[in-house]
Amino acid sequence: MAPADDPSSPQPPAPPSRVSPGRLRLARLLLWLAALGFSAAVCAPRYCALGWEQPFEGQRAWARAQGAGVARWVEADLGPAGFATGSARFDGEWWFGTYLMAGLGYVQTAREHPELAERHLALAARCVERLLEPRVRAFDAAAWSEDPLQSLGGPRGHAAYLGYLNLLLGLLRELEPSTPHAELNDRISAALARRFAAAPQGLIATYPGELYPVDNSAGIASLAVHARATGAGPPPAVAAWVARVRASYLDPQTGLLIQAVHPASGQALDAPRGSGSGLAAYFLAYADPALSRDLYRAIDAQLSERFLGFGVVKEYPATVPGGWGDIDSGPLILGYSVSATGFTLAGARIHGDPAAFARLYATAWLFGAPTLGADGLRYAAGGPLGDALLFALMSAPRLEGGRR
Amino acid sequence: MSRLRRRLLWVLLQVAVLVGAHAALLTWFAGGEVSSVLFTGGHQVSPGVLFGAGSFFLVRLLLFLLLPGVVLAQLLELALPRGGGAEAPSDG
Repeated sequence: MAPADDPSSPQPPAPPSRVSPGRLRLARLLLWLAALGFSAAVCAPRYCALGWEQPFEGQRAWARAQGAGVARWVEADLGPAGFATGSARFDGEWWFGTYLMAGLGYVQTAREHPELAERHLALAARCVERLLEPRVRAFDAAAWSEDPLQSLGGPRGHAAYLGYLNLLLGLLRELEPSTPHAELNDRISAALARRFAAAPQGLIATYPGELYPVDNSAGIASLAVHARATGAGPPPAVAAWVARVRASYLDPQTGLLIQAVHPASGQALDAPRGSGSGLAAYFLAYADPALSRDLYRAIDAQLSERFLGFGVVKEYPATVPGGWGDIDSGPLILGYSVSATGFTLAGARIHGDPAAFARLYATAWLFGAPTLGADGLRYAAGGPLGDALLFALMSAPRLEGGRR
Repeated sequence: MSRLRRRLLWVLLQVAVLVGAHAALLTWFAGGEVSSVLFTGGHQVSPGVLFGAGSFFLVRLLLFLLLPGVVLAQLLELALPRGGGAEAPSDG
């Protein structure tokens, strides 16, 4: 018997490694790079996108959970002080925007899920009550030195308040024709139609001397929805506005929406941007799906990118130097915009782009930090406005590749 | 304690620290304070919240982007031969 076969004999020491330390270091380096790359670019985006189909397909469980999470903000006694933007106007806008987007989320999910309609329409009505409180519209009244609802006979724009409110009123009225706010919906619609018709640049002012096409898109959408809710024909103001925007306020190079317009000359005061284009694509789904689709495609072609498999949207096209971000875009990280990325979720759902929706959802999940508890689905990094925004954007009406 | 056991405990400690830190920060920001940083670019936010929000996103990125790779790399490293920094003896 050979000594090596004798179990009682001492085992020989293990042969020393023939791998040189240099090669071993290189192998370790490659192993670490491969593992980290696999983790960040393959595993993470797939893990973070888990469940994307729930909002994209409009699953009832998601709508119920997200609606319950947002209800907490609707019922809470929020105030402008809870939004630390550093500007009283923007604090007020965010407070208003929380109830507006929550209300839009509720009517959209009520439309998709009749079994949720009773609860969600009641919550949408609660949002309208909040929006009608004088303290919630104080940001607009302060800017114009007149109350937006008590000056409907006047000429001033009030696009920051009236268009958005009227869109929710109209959508609620479509589902609940007996809404007590039908008469207000008629009065605001009449005022907006008159103001659009008289607007020299085709745009009504958000604040004195400030024209923003994206705010106007909500007002125009509200006129289209009002016409549907009342059985009237397509309002001429909508077609005229869409034609004017296509002619004057879409950047010819990129197809993106100009963010701000000079009230006297009608010239662009700001660049074409992702945040305005993305939000307008959402609102215009209710007024002119073709323009909404074109804006979404422009974002997809000019601003949407993949970063480690996550969907991200830049605020500015490549030809425009960006900055650090502002109240519209949120902070810009490598040029990517928090707001534009979130708003584009709506366009992806509206126009049936599941791959883009999944990538953007992964980003929203990673940075939004959703938590599902007994009180529903909420985003730790979202706060009241973020929760309400994601509720409305992820339940935006599906016009292509899905049911309306 | 064997080398294998020490390495596995070290990996487990890394996972526990990161998961614990993430859970603590998630609880801290459950009220939505971090949104002030996320949406406004940090303007008018207290240094404490700004630091906490930055830590929260850093920990979250480490947890979901890198930690699986770090764990995987360390486990695979165990299969590599030990170099110990010494030159391998020559056959001659």
